[in-house]
Amino acid sequence: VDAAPLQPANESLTALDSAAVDSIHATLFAELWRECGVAEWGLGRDDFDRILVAAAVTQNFGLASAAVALPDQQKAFFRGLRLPDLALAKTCAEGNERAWEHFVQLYGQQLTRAAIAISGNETVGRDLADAFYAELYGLSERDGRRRCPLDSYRGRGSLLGWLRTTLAQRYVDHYRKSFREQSLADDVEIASPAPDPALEISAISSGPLAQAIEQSLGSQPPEEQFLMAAYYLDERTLAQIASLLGVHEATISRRLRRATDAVRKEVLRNLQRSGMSRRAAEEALGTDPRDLDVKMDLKKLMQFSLPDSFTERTPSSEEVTKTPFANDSLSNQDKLTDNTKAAG
Amino acid sequence: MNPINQSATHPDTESLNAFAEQALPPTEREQILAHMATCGRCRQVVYLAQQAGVGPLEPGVVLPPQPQAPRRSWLTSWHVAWIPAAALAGLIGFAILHHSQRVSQEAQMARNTPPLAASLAPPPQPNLQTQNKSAPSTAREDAPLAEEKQALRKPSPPHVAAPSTPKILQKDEGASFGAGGGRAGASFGNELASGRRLDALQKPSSLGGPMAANQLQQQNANANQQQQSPRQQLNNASLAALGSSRTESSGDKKETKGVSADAVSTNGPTPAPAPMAQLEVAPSLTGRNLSTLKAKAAKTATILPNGVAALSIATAAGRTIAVDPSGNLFVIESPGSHWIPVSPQWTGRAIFLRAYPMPAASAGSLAASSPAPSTPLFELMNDKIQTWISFDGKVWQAQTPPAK
Repeated sequence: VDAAPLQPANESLTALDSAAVDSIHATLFAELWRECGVAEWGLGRDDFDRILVAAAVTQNFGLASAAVALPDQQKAFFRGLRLPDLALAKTCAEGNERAWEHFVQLYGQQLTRAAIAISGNETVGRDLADAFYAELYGLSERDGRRRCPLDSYRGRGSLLGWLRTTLAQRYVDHYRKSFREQSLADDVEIASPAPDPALEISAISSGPLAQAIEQSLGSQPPEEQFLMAAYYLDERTLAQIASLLGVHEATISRRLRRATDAVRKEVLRNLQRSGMSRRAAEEALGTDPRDLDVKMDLKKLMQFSLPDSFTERTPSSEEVTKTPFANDSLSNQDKLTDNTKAAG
Repeated sequence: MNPINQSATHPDTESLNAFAEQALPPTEREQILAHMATCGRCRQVVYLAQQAGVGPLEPGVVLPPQPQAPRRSWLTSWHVAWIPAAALAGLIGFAILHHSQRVSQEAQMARNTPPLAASLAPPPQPNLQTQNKSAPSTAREDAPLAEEKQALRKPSPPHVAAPSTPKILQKDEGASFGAGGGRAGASFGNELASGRRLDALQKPSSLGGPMAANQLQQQNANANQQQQSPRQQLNNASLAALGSSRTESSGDKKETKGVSADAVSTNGPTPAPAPMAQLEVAPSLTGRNLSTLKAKAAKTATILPNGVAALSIATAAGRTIAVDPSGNLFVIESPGSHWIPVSPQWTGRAIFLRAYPMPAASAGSLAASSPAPSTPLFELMNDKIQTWISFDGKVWQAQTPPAK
C-alpha cells in the first residue's frame, strides 16, 4: 500500500520533562526490553524507552491526572502493560516496515477470521477486514495528518482483543450507517401494518408501577443491572455472560436470581410506599414490563440489543408485527419517541 | 440506536477490550459495567468481540495442531469414589478375617473333641464285600439268603455304596428270622464282607421272636445314623493294613489271598476264593493319600500310654480297648482308670477293634470264660483279616483260626 510516511506519534514527547524521564528506573527499562523480545523485529532500545515514556506520560502511570506516581507505582504500571503489543502497535503507527511485517504475520489471518465471525458472512467479513487494514495503515487523514488507529492503543489489554473490539465497533457503525440508509419504500411497507404503540403504553407509562420499577432497577448495583440487561434483554446465555465476566455459570445464575428477587421486593415496597395495598401491588406486578416506559426504556433496549438486530436478513411480516421498530428508520423512531413523549 | 437511552460518551475501545479481558481496575470496571447496563451498543460490541474470539474458522485456514492436554490418570479421576471404595474394601477385609477366625475356631474344636463316636461306631460298611463271597453257606441257610448272596457275587464297583444297605436290611429281616441261631461266632471278616446286612442277619436270628426283631430294627437305625463313622474307621484300618502290606513284596499279596482263602475254607465246605478287601481298596489309594489319612487318624485318635495315637478304639459298658498303629492293645477297665497294656494273644498286627453286646445264645461256646451273659464282646481284627473275640478285652480267643 502506498502511503505517505507517518509522522512519529510521539513527536510531542520530544519535549518531555526530563525529570519525568529520570524518575523512571533505567534498569527496569533494560529488563523490560529484554523480556519483550522486540529486538527480533528491529525495535531498538532507544525507541522502546521512548514508547514507554510516552505511555507513562499520556496515562500518568495509570493514576489520576493530578497524582504523582511513586517508583513502585511506576514499576507496577509498566509491569501491567502489554509491552510487546504496545511496542508493536506504536511502531506500526510510526510506519516501521519491519513492524508491519511482524504485525501481518501475527494478526493477518486472525483479523480476517475475526471479521468473518463478527459479520457472520465471509464476503462481508473480508470486506470489513480489508477496510480495517487500510484504516490501520493510516490511509485516512485528519487535520492534514495521517491517522492510525493503532496509535490509540495503550497496552491495557491484548492487541488482538483490541483489534477484535475495534472490528466489532466498525461493524456496528457500518450496520448503523446502512440501517439508516434503508429505502423509503421498505419503511412505508414495514411501518404501515404496525400498530401505534404509543397509544398502548401511554396509559401506564407514567403510572406508579413505572416509577417503582425505575427506582428499583436504579437502586441495584451496576453489575446486577448489567446481568439483568444481558440475560433478559439481550437474551445472552449464562455461559456467555460468565465468560465475559470471568466467573462460573452457577455464579451468574445465583446472582441473577438474587437480583430479580431484590428487584421484585423493591418494586413491591415502592408500590406500597406510593399508597398501594400489598395485593394491589402484587397484581400490578403482573403487568408486562415491556409495556412500561421507564427512563431506561427496557422495551427499546431489548429491541435494539437483540442479536438479530445486526443480521443482514429481511425480517418477515410476523417478526415485523411483533417488533415494529426493528427495521424502522431513524426518522420513524424519532417520530415514535416524540409521540410517546407527547402522550406522556 | 436510541440516543435517549445511551450514554452520551461510550467507553473507548481500549476500555471495552480491557473489560472483556478482565484487565481493568475495580473502580473503572464498575464504571464500565454501569455504562453497559444501560448501553446496548457497547454490550453488543463486547459480545461481538467475544464471539470473534471463539468464532468459526475461516475456510482454508489450517491452524497448527493444539497440544493435547496430558491425560489424567485414572487414579486421580477417582476423587470422591475413594471413600466408598475404601469403606467397601474394609468391609470385605473384615468379613474375610471374621470368616477365617471362625473356621480356625471350628477346626480347633474339632481337634479337641475325642473321636468317641468313631470308637463306638458299628463295624464299617465295606467295600470288602468280596469277602462275602467266601462266607460259608451252611445247611440252615435259606433260599432268600442264598439268592441275595448270589446277587452279591455279581461284579460291582470297587466302592460299594453303603446307602443301599437299609433296603437290603428290610429284605433280610424276614430271612434272618427264619434262619436258625448259632451264628454268633460268624467271622468278623464275613461281617465286613456283607456289612451290616450279615450283622443284622446273624444276631437277631439267634434270638428269634419279636424281641429279636426290635433289636434288629434298633441296630439298623443306629447303623444308619452312624454310617459315616464306621466307614472312616474301616478305611483307617484297611489303610493301615494296606500300608503294611504295600511295604512287602508282591508275593505277600498272593500269600494274603491264600491265607484268606484258607480262613474261609475253615468255616464252610464251599470255600470261594475271593480277592481281599484291601486289594480292592488299594488301587484307589496312593501313598500320598495313605500318609495323609494316617496323619489325620493320628490327629483325631486318643493318645495311648506309649505316646502313640490310637488306631482303633472300642468301648462297651464302661470298658474301653484301644490299639495303636503298631498293634499294641490297651484296655481301661473302668472310666477314670489308666490304660493297661494287654499282651498279644493273636497273630499279626491288630488293626481294628469293635465292641457290641454279645447275644446270650451265641455265647454258649464261650460260656466258660465269659463272666456274664451281658458282658460286652470285643472283637479284634488283625492285618490278615482274622478276628479274635474277648469278653473283657484282656483275654482273647481266636474266632477264626489263624493263618497257617
